[in-house]
Amino acid sequence: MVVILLLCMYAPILDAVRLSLTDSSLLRPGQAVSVGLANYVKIATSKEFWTIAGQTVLWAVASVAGAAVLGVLVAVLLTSHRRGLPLRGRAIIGGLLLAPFVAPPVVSAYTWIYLYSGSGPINGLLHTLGVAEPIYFLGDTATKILGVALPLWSMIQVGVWSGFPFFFLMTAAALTSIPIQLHEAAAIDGASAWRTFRSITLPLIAPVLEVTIFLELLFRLGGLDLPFLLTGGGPLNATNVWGVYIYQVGFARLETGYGAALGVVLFLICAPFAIWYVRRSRHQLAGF
Amino acid sequence: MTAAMTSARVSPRDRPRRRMSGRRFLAYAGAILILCYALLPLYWMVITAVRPVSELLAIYPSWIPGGIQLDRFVNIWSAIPLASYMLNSAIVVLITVLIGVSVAAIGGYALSRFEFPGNGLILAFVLFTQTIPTVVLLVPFYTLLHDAGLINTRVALPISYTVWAVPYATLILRGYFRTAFSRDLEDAARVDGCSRFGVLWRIVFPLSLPGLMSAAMLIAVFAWNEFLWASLIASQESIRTVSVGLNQFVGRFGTNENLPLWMAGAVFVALPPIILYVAAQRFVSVGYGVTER
Repeated sequence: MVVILLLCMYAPILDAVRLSLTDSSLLRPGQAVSVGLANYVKIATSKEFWTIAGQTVLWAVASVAGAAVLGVLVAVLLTSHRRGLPLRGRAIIGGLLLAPFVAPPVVSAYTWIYLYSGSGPINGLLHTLGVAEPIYFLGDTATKILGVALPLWSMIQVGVWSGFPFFFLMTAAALTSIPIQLHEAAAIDGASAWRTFRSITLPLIAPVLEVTIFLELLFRLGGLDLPFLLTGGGPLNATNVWGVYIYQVGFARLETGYGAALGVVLFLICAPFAIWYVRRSRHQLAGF
Repeated sequence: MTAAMTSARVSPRDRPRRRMSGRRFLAYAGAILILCYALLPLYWMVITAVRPVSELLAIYPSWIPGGIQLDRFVNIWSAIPLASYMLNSAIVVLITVLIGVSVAAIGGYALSRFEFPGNGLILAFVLFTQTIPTVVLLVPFYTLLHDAGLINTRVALPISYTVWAVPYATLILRGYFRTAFSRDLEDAARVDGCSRFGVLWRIVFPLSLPGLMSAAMLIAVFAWNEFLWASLIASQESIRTVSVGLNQFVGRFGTNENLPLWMAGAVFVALPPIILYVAAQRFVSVGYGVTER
C-alpha cells in the first residue's frame, strides 16, 4: 500500500521529466512534440528566469532567517523563566503564538494586503508618527532597500510573520528538555545571558534548529500559496518567485512543458539538501 | 549554623526570583510584544468585521473600533454559500485524515517494527518525498488527474491530499512508534495469544493516541487551508472549499462597504484551525519527534 502511494509521488516526477522534454501545452492536449533540451536552454538563457531565481533565494533565505531569530527569541523568553509563569498562561500564549502558522493563507494574505494598503492601518500609524506621504508597501517598486524593491521586503515580512511560530514550536519543545542544572551551573559561574545562550542553549537546540531551517527553506522555495495570494508575482515581477512562476507558466500561459522543466530544475537544486536530510534522519532514532 | 540552614532552604526558589525580577519583566514584555505582532492581522480581521462602515470610509481607519455591529456574522451566510464551502472542506478534511492516518499508521508501524529486506530503502524513499517541493508536482499531477478525467470531481482533492499526507504521516508515526513505548508490551500480548492485528488494535493504537492525534491535526489543517491546488482542480461551485470560496469573493467584496462582510467570513474560516491548535497544542510538537518532558 505504501509502495502504491510512493508510486503516486514518484510517477509524477518522472512524468515531469518526460513533459519537460516536450513542447506540451494545455492548449493542444495530446499533441506534444519532443523538443529535446530546448526548454532547459530557454530557462538558462531567460533573463526573466534569473531575476526570479534570485528573488526566490532572497525570499526563502530572508524570511526563514527572520523567522528563526524571532521564533528562537520568543521560545527562549517564554521558557527560560518558566518556573515563574503559570503553566496555563504559558500554554495559552504558546497556543496563540501559533495562530500565524495555522491561519489559512487566504485569510492572512488579504488581511496583510489591507494592513499594507495606502489608506490602511499601518499608513495610518505612520501618519500619526509624522510620515506625510502614504507608503505603498506592495506596489512601490521605485523605493529600494539594499538594492531590492520594497514590495519584496514587504512580502518577506509576511513570510517572517507566518514562519516564526513553527520555529517557536520546535525550539520551545527542545528547550524544555534541556536539564535546568546546566543553566544553573552557568549562572553560578557568572556567565552572561548571551554567553549562556551561545555556549549552552544554542548547541543543545542546534539539531532541532537545523531540521526546522531545512523544512522551512524547502517550504519557502516550493510553496506558493502566500506569495501567490499576496502579490501574484507583481508588480512587474518585482515579487515573483519560482513557485508562482511555475504556476504562471504552466497554468496561465498553459506552457506545461516549460513549466515542468522549471519544476525539474527546482527539484534538482533541492535534491542535494534532501539527500543530506535523508542520510541524517536515517541515523536518528526518531523519524524527524 | 541556623543562618546557613535557612539560606539553604530558601535560596533555590526565592533568591534567583528576586534578583531576576527586572529581567523577568523584560522577558514577559518581549514575549507579549511578539504575541501582539503575531495577532496583529487577526485583530484587524476581527475589528474590521464588527466596525461601522462609516469608519472604513475614513482615510485612515482608527486602531480601536468606534462601535460594534455583529450582523455581518449572520449576513455572510446568506451573502455567499459559506455553509456549503465549509461542508465541502469538512468532507475533504475528514476523508484525507481518515485514509491518511490509517494507511500511515500501518505503514509507519511496519517500518518501525519489522526488519524486512528493503526496509531502509523504503524509508529513504518516504523521507525523500518530504523534500520534494510541492510546486514541482503541480504540472505533472494536474495532467495525470486530467487524463483520468478527475478534474472538478469530488474525489480529486482527497486523492491528491492523501498522496501528500501519507508519507508525511508515516514518518511522524514511525518516529512515534519507535520511541513512545516499549516493545515488550506487544511481545507480552503476542505471548498471551493476541494476533498481530490485535496487537495493533488493542495495544499500539491506544498507546499512540497522542502521535495519531498529532498526525491527524497536521493533515487536517493542511487540507483545510490549502488554496492553490484546490483552485485548480476543484473550482466548481458545488465542490469548492473554504479557501477557494473566500478567495472568489474578494473581488466582489473588495469595496470598503463590503469589507466587513468578507472579514466576517474570514473569521469563520480561520477559527477552526486556530481553535484546534490552541486547544491541542501539546500534540503538535509530538509530531516532529520533539517530545516535551
